[in-house]
Amino acid sequence: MPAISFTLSGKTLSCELARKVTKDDLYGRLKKLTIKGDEVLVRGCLTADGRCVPASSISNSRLDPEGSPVDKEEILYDGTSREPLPSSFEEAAPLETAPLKALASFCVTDVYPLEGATLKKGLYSTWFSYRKSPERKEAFVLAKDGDTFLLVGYAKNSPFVGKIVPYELFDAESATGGDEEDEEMNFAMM
Amino acid sequence: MTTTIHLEYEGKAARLPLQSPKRSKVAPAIQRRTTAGAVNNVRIFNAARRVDLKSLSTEDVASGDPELDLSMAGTLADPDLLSTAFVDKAGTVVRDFEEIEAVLKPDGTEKERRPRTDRTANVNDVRPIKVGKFMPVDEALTSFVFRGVYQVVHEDGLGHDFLRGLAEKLEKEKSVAVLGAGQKGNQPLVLVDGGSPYRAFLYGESAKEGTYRLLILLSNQELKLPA
Repeated sequence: MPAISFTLSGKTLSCELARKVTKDDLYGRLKKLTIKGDEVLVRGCLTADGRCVPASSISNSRLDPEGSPVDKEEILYDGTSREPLPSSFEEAAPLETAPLKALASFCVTDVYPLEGATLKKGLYSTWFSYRKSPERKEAFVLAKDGDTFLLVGYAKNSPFVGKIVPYELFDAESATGGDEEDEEMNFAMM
Repeated sequence: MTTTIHLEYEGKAARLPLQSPKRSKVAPAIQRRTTAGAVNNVRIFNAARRVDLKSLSTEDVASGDPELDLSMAGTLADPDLLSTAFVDKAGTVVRDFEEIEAVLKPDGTEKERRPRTDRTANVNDVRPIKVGKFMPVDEALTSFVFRGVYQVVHEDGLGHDFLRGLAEKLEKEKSVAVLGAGQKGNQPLVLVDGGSPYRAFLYGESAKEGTYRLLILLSNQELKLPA
């Protein structure tokens, strides 16, 4: 397990980042199968000239305007080039105590247990970056009942509404599944 | 497109807009480029050929490249010109097939097979989403992993009073309410046709001057370690 450090009130806290916990690890998962008799069929593609190729024979690639595979590329963030920042394993991220209700408007994408973390019960805001990157993800560390979790994701800005609803504060697409996952799940949890 | 939720609480039901709050931090616009210009993401044919590795001998591999098909390698795979097909072990396209789903345990072993179910959205159904049991807000926030946050808002004065009253009650009791679909109000919520089912919790806060915040928190996972 990789070692990860945080700073809290000037002190460095070291622990280990355990493997990500997904719902599949807790409840299992549903796998969609296409069968004929007992044989599980493989997905393939029919090309315009009638050939059938396996799906694995198609790869994603990045090409430049001349059609050449991209070897070295420059990434612009809002039109400007940025240097990658150290990852969470190279730089200790600061922890700041946060109210528990901050979790009510936080969408979690990844959950990592932190082993060996000696934190007081509570919620702490921080950042996380698995790799060197110009962008760091928002995160919370939640210490509860002996277990400590790193919750990585993004916060939403949910406003208080009065008589007049400020629709400009909401996404135009609304709840059409932007945060939806494709996978099904088992509801053993409830 | 606005999603509507049909919500019932204490015998009163209302159809209300369900909004998606914006992210606190706007994600930057990312552009990739080389000295020749902007980078395009494309799909290309690689040289992979589907072969049964067990049927290959060391001589086959040494004398040729049976796992490669170079005839189309490197050409663009235009999604508009490709159709999905299902093939058997012999490489033959099968036309009469059955679509099922296998339930896998956490260790990956298969538990059962059953016909595939297509879920339909149920938040704006004839049967309203029921506001069920209350549970302490701190317990809910530390026991579940919330994957999505949506906000219920009103369209008229009646809706405002209904939602603000509910938000005030939740805040006063320091609780969230469990939401459920279906006749008994114990089914998970599905926001879009074909979407994932989520357990949902109603979180409420109110503030001065008649403002309120009523959030639907969607979860598909408990916050705990695997067994």
